[in-house]
Amino acid sequence: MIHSMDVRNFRCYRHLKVDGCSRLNVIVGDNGSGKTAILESIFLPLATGSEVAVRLRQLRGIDSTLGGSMRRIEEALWGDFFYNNDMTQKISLVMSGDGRDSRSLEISRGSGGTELPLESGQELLGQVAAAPVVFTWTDHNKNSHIVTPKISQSGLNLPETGEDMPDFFFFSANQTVGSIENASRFSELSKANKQETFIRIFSNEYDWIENLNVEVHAGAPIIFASIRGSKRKLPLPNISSGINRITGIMLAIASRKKSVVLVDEIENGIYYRHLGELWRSIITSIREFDGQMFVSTHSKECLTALVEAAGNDTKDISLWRTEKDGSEATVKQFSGEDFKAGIEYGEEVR
Amino acid sequence: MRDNSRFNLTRLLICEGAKDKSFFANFIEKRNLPRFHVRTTNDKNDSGGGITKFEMALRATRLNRSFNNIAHIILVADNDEAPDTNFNNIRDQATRAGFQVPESELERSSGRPTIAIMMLPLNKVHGNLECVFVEAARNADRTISSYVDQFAALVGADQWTNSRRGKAWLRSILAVRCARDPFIPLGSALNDDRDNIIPLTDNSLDKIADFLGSYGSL
Repeated sequence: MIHSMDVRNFRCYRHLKVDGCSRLNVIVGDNGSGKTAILESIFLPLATGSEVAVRLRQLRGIDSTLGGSMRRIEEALWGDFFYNNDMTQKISLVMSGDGRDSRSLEISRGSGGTELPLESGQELLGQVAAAPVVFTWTDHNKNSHIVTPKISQSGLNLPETGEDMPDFFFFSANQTVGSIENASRFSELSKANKQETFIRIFSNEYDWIENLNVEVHAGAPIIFASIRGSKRKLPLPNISSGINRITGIMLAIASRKKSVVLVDEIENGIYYRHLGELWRSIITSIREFDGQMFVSTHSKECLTALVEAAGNDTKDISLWRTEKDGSEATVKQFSGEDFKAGIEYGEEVR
Repeated sequence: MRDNSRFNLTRLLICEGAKDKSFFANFIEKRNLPRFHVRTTNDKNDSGGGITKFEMALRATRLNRSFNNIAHIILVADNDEAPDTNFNNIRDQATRAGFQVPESELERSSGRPTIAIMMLPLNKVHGNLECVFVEAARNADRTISSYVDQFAALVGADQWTNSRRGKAWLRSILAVRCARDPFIPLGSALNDDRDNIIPLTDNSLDKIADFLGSYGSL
């Protein structure tokens, strides 16, 4: 469980300090006001080098080639990480929490004059001398792990630190949840003999799904659902992409105790009438599996459904609202009781 | 009527229901008092949220993006038949909502925003908003008022609680004096001064005006 975070010079945050993170933290705010930046500021310290590289490739569309001057490549990769694109100021992301969730990351640019390290044999024309960006993770035992990203013509690579990492999951706004990934997590749950709890929580809300299990489908493992009234099991992704996304989120919570789950725009792909089911499943799961979630949303229906699903038990829920004044973003944090009152009163909480 | 607009004033008044809201909005304008945003304890509900929803209203208000503009809040509620109990109830709700609260009625708490609690009728008199208007309505037409007094005596209203008696008396005089609509709702009567049934300039309402007016210098 992350209890507090201290973010400096990251994206639109010059300095953000949030104490008292809850079990379920719901982030709202205008477009470009820093919701996703909060999720990234949690993701980066908790992630491994390879996860950072994968995420950066997804975010910046740099799956294949990199071109242009070294400075341009550098700016394209890292520039918007730094507050006001000022790469001379070190980024500091500090998460304070229980055990392995206490981690920090500093991203800094080395002193000038050193070239961005390229993998051997790579040549880029017209390059400008630039300093490397250095990632320094500090784990819960205060050990530092320094990584310098490498760029090759196949893309970006951040070497692994070889650490025992905290359990966390990041679902981007439009990310499709892979069926094999879901099957793999369900299989882990099953091997730990914990699938019954998961299925119970799941079918409490989706009572037309009687059972779930992993089957090999066209050579790949996929979760199949036993549907009430149907003779054949169906692959879960074929039933509904929304159900598949909900399953992915719930499996992320359930597959490990005390996992941290980040979801950007949680309402994506989910029909409004199922938002209550989604939240009830999530609330039950994170309490049952002692997890923690940071979730962003734009949807009032989604927020209303959460308040209705939580009922009077809002003590482990908080609302974070990002606000931006000029280039600097801030966060206002509200208790679950304030959040519930705001929704019930009809105040615009977003 | 929902008021989710930005708080561009520094003063906010939260009252129990729509009738109170209508009264204060009109009273402030008519008397040219310092301007307040006026909300009920539940603007989602046409009749308001009543005395039990002050905590919700205060918590919700804090979520308004322009809440920081608010420097002073007045909470207005009815004494009913238990002035001290109702005052303490509202005080407790404001405390639970995380606000600093005053020790007594019409006192401003410290902190920002300040909180003051106005219980109606003033001076711990048992009753409600309707009772506040009885004197003003009486002064507006003493003859008909005396007939309503006789009617009230005949039906044994002296045995009733102040709240019931006040409501019945006011309902009676509204029915008699508003020829165009004997069923005229109290809020409408306050909004529309064509019939001058409850003159908001009446001296009996001066103490309320004085208290609201004291915010002009803050």
